[in-house]
Amino acid sequence: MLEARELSKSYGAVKALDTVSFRAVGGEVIAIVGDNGAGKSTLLKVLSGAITHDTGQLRVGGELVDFRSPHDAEQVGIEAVYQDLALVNTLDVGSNIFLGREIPRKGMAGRIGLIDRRAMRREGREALRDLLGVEFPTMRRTVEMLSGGQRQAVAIVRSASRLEQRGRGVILLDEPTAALGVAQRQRVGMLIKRLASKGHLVVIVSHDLPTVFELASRIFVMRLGRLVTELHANDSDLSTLVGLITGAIEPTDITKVVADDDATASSDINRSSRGTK
Amino acid sequence: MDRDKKRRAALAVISGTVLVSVLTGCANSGGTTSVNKGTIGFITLNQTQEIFISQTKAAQQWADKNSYKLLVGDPNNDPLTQANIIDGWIDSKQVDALLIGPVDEKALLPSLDKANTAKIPTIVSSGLDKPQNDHQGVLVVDWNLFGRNAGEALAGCINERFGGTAKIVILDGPELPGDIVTGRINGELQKIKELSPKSTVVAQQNGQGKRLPSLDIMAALLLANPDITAVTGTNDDSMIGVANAFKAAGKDPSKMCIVGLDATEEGLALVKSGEFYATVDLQPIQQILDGLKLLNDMKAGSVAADARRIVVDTKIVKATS
Amino acid sequence: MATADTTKVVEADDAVSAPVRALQIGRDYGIGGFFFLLLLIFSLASPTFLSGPNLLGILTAASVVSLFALAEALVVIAGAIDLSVVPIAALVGVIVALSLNAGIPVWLAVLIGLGVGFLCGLLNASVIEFMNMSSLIATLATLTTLTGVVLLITNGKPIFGVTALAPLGQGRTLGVQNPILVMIATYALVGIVMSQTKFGNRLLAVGGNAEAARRAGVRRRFYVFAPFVACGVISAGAGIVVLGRLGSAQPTFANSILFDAITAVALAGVLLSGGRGSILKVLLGSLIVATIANGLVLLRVSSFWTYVTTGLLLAVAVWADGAVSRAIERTSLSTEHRKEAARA
Repeated sequence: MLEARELSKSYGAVKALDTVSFRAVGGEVIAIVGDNGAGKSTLLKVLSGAITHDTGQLRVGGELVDFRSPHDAEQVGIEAVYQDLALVNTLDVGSNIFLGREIPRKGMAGRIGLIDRRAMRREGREALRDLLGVEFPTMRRTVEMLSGGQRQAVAIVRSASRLEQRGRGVILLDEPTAALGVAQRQRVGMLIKRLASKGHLVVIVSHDLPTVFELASRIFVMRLGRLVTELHANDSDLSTLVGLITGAIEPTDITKVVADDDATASSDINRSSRGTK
Repeated sequence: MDRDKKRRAALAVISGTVLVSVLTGCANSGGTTSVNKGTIGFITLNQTQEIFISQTKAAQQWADKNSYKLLVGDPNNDPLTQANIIDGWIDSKQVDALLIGPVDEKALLPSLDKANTAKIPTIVSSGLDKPQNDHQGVLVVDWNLFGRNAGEALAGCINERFGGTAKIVILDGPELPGDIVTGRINGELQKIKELSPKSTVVAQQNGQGKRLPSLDIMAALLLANPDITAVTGTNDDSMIGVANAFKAAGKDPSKMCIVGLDATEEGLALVKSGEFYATVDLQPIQQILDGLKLLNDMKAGSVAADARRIVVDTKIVKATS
Repeated sequence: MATADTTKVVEADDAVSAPVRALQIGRDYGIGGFFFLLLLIFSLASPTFLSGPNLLGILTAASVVSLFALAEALVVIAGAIDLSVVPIAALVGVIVALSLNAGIPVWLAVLIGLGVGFLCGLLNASVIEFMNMSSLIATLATLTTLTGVVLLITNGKPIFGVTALAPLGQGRTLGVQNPILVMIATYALVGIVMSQTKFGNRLLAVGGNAEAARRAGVRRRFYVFAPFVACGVISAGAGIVVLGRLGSAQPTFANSILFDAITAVALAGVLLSGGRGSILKVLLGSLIVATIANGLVLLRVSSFWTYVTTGLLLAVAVWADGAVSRAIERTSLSTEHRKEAARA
């Protein structure tokens, strides 16, 4: 569903992305991890269309794509939820979920710009229930009154419900569990799993390694702009992951070859990673 | 970065505004005649009110005709700004003579001393009772007398129309320093007490010297006291609001007693139509012309002290007069 | 957790605690409560206050300031401010008065006036958008410039004897002064637009979080221009109502009007940071300002107290609004943490 081939992006002499390749399909949760400056944010922005890569190819559903803006990415079913969530604190939940694609009233009223707030609340509530399994006590509450987990849910469901209109797609989550308490983090974790179970591909960029282990089936480790290796969450442990991120362990040190046994996943990591020591 | 940019833009605008006001306000020079008898610095309370704008216009015409240049300052009702403008003119030797309508004469004393030291002939219009030095002439405007005239007219109207008894409203404001407003109000109150002792002042409120707030205040007062029949205050403008309030309450202003002050064009028209019983004329143009003439004489040679004191005439204008 | 049942419907936390709810209720309904308190105090203090004619008088007096407040509110909701509403009204009043005196039919003169307001708003927005200036500075420049332009046109003299608009300004319909009807109609229209339309929803979004709105596909630039243009047109309307009420056009208005309008907007809880705004509350805010002025006149309190009261009101309104918002933010977060702690 989403395939990157040798994506590169440079800022002057700095290679923010260096020949990154991977493949992922719907129903998966994959995670991109790495230290600060490893290139994971750059990769996320390239995937979301916020920046354009220099060389390499990006395919969505087999089609070659060339994003000039986030809008282009949205057109082919890629939605990004950034860390700041991009919610309007002063608007209620329904208005936030449908901002930019408000539901018009039926008939003439809709044609002169009147919107159906009740429908927006109802459909927002249904989307939260169906897509994330979350029930909100009231949809009239403004976002500023919500907890961190609830805000995350609103931001995710807004993107997810956009995808829903076109079937399945890719949802990119930037640090979805940052600034959340333990319980809230678990809740967001459940939302993410549920999204994947609906057939979407979920890509998480995160520093929160325990959560990454818990949620992702595959973990891509980035270092200095390169995707150095891929771990299967089931076959690895936290200390190995930390070692790979910091460079204390090299991918070649891992003797066990990752078996391609995940039925929903297939990977094609450019493991040779030219120049890795 | 962005904030810095904005700050710079802000600075640009502010300095631009200052520049424009300097260009328009101070370099408003006229007189293209070949002989130049010098530059007169001309500064009154502001350049936004009708009365001062018309004074400035008259002064400009006089200056053009008499081969003077006129520098016009606009302190926007601020005593400090006025002092700063005058000090600046004196320090930079831009002016050979001054005609000043003080915002607050007390705040202006250092600047007047400065003008004296620099031997610049100066006319002070209102505020001073007599010349303080040999280079000074004064136009004595007695704001209290101005107010007494209005009070007298109001009392006359009350006697004529209401048998000497009325409920009176005074609309004061705006809050100017000095005697300009308070003098008027005190004079009015004094004459009302003296000439219409049976009348009562039921309210004294701030009409800000403007018609819209005066209208709203007067409308409220008329509901609480429907028997209010006589109103005066600071100026014609606020009395126009009063006349409208009477009309809105279903009363004919020409059967009431409304006395304006300043004798503006509109005020005079309302006197003529009967909506105002009277307005008081301070002859603003004539006093400025008298002042300029005196200034011209003082520049030509010394003028005796008592000739440097001109008392400005005030005059009640009624429909019949 | 790794084996969580991903199909289970979970109940989201109700993170809103009692204190937050109390604060929210205070913010949402405080202004209404304050208004009724004010009505109560004044009606006890003055027998005239609660009479029908006086209440209509308050509404008539409020009609002008409420239009300015509405104009200002739209800009403030969008996260900006417009200091030039009063000179726009003065300019429009003068132009309409001159047009009427030149024999132009009333409907056309009014249309010209609203058009001038439209252009003034367009000018403000253009300066802000294309010269990258803050709205405060840009509209301050407009304020000064327009004041000068009006004085140049009029020579500082009012234009009087304009009778054509007297029905609008001084007439009544079914016993109600027409300016009140203009006020109600304008508020109803803007209220519906703000609460029921795509435009209103997006304007609130841009004011609340411009970046979020942009990412949601909202055309930002349109929502920079629209509130200023609407503000210009409504200010023009205010200028026309004033012209009708007075039968004359003044080149300069009383200084207190802009202050009263901004106070009304602040009372409405339309935060100066934007994004929030109930049009009904702006109307209530205007009525409060007009009621205080009226009540103090009836009680024959020195008018200086009107300044003191309105000034204090502005300060308290802005302070309370900010304090409540901060408290909501703080309390809802700390509640979250307490719950975490309780679970641990």
